[in-house]
Amino acid sequence: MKKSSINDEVILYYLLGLGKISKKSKFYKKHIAFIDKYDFSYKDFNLTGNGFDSDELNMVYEFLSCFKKGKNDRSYIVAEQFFQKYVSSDYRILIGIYSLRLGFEIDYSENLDEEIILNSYKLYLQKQYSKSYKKISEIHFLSKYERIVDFIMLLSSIQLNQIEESWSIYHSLQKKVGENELMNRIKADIYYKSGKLNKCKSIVNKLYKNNYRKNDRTNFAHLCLLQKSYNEYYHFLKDNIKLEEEYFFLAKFYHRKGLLDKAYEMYQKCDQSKYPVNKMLGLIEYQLGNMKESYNHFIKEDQLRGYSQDNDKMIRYIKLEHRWKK
Amino acid sequence: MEKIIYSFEMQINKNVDRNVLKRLLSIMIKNPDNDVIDHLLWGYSSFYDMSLFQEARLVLAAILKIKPKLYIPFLKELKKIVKKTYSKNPDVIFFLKIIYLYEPLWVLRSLEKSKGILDNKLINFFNDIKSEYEQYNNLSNEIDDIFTGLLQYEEREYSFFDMILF
Repeated sequence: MKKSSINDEVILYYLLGLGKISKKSKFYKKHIAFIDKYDFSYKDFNLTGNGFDSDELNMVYEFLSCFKKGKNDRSYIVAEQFFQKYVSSDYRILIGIYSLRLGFEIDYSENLDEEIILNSYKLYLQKQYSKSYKKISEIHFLSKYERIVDFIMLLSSIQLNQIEESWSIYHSLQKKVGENELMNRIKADIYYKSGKLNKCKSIVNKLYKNNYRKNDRTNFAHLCLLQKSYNEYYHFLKDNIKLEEEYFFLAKFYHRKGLLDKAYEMYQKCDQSKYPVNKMLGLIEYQLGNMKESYNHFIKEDQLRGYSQDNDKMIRYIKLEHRWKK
Repeated sequence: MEKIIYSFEMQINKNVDRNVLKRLLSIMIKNPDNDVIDHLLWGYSSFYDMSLFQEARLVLAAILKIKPKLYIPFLKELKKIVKKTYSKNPDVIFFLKIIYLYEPLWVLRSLEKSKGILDNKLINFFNDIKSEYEQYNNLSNEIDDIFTGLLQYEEREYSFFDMILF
């Protein structure tokens, strides 16, 4: 049985992080079971008879499950089928947004709202913020999906450094949405763009502590560096390294401070193909006057990670220095 | 080897027999110790001074067959030959090339000073090493930038927003 459109809209906003839903509702219980109990596996969820009453919603969850698990091929098939089957569904926007993030080419020109929202979001993802803003403005106050329009407008205006407007849209959206992780992230972005790094850092720190997402840790560490709070950065990472990227950051920190031994040790813990480890080790050896070792590291960097101008310069320079610095 | 070296000295001090000289040189280059190298350089200079250019060339051919590394203790002697014979000796480039391996800056300065009297071969050699030296100096400045750049904390294009899936 098809649910009423108002319910679909509420669910749509909830799934996008742009609305709340009653925790007592049947939908919410199923949603939580899907996330917690079945760990986003739509197949297990459906097999145990826990599926939603609506086929449309079941398909949405199947899509989200594939998306979350990185099964992009299957996500694409489900998205295509959904767009063909449900030509006037509210969830088309949701599937469209996530499909765009995966780079799928889906025909979403069934109605004007959908076309403008998704095209504008696509432009946002392509970093064409001005065009995205202009596009979404066409349906500002006119669209059925007011919150989504506000949301995309807000994203673009933040990137365009329209701080006052960003706050204005943010406050209006927050009145409808309330406080949640998504709104906090957006708030952090506005603070960041307006140069209020302390406030931004405080939100990012809370985000990191409340919902562990790896980017929040590294973002927090980077904000410390931007503020030149080196001690804070150092103490944050020193005893608490969780990500490989953080070893590299800390190594660079030591390197910059001239603590070459410690930097060397940290660089060695990083994946040589992912990070310019050999380049950095080459620089350290160069600083220590070990030209042969330095040269070998730069050659290795070249072999592992391909040509880079800096590397090439270092290799040529060491060769010439060997001859001319006498 | 002492006898060979003595015979070599005789070739220079008395009448030279090119066939004997060739034989002596072929033995000397098989055992290129410091004494041999010292005598070869002295032999070259002496033949050159006596205007025995063909004999000097035979000695030069022997000198060039010895690994350049072995000339490190004789750079002073090589420089003397270069200084003495710059304007008139077409073979000076060979000596310059050996010195260039160990003291390129001396070669560059020396060629620069004598720019007006250099033949085409030497001008080309001068231009080559001059451009190499310039490249070295330019790179030296760029290397400083690499150090500064790589150790800087990159300003990221931050966005704390991400479409959150639950």
